[in-house]
Amino acid sequence: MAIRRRKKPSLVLPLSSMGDIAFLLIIFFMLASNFMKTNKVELEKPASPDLEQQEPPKSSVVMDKDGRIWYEGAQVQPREVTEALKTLAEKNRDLAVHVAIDKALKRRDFMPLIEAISESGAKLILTGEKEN
Amino acid sequence: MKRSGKKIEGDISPDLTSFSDIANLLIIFFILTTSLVRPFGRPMDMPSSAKPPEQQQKSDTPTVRLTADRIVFSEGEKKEREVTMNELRKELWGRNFPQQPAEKRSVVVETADDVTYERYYQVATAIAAAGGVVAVMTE
Repeated sequence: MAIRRRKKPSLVLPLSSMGDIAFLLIIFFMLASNFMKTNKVELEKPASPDLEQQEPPKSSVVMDKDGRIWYEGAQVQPREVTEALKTLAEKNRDLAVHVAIDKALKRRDFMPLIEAISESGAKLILTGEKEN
Repeated sequence: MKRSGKKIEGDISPDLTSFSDIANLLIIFFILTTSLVRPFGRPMDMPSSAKPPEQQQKSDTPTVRLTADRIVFSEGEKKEREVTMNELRKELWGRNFPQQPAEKRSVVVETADDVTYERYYQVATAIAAAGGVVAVMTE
């Protein structure tokens, strides 16, 4: 008598749901992402105990250790920062600008930037390191 | 010639493996570029330096004079005294700024040219944390 061979069960993994999960994760990261435009700027942030965690920045201005001002990844002058932020502040009244300045800079270097931003009418958030 | 009308039957599910490869590559890209860290900072309530508030003219407005090595707090010319950062914080919190009307929240900060940003930052954030408004003295 011929013995019937048992059929091997096929091992197929349903992978289509993996793609769905992957795309959901992409959508999450796209919405939560905040691309760093100031990565190349060299600065050391000042420390203070009087700080709180803030929302991720919508707009940010950085002054590096050489006193150069960076806005949205480009080097600018204080007057240009005022103009750009004024336009943005007119559209969005709650516009908060994150400002990071190198801790070693002197008053004559950093004050024109602070004045330029406060003149634009945007809300100023001075960022730094939390000191315990 | 007669063509066979029989349709080819079979599984017509498209191969989606390359799609999930692309999706996973995109995920890796976003994971590497995303910054979910919320920065530390302090919102500053600063009047425009072009128009200093009227209160700056009054003699009883709290004033912080900042030099490279000293912090001098005054409330009118007679009460001028040197303070440490902690004493300044105590002085500012004692004024209960949030309960005061807007015109009494200003603290004038006079900063010497050689003061570093870190020193100015500590004073300005201490004033803002106490509910005060930093009024910058312009020449």
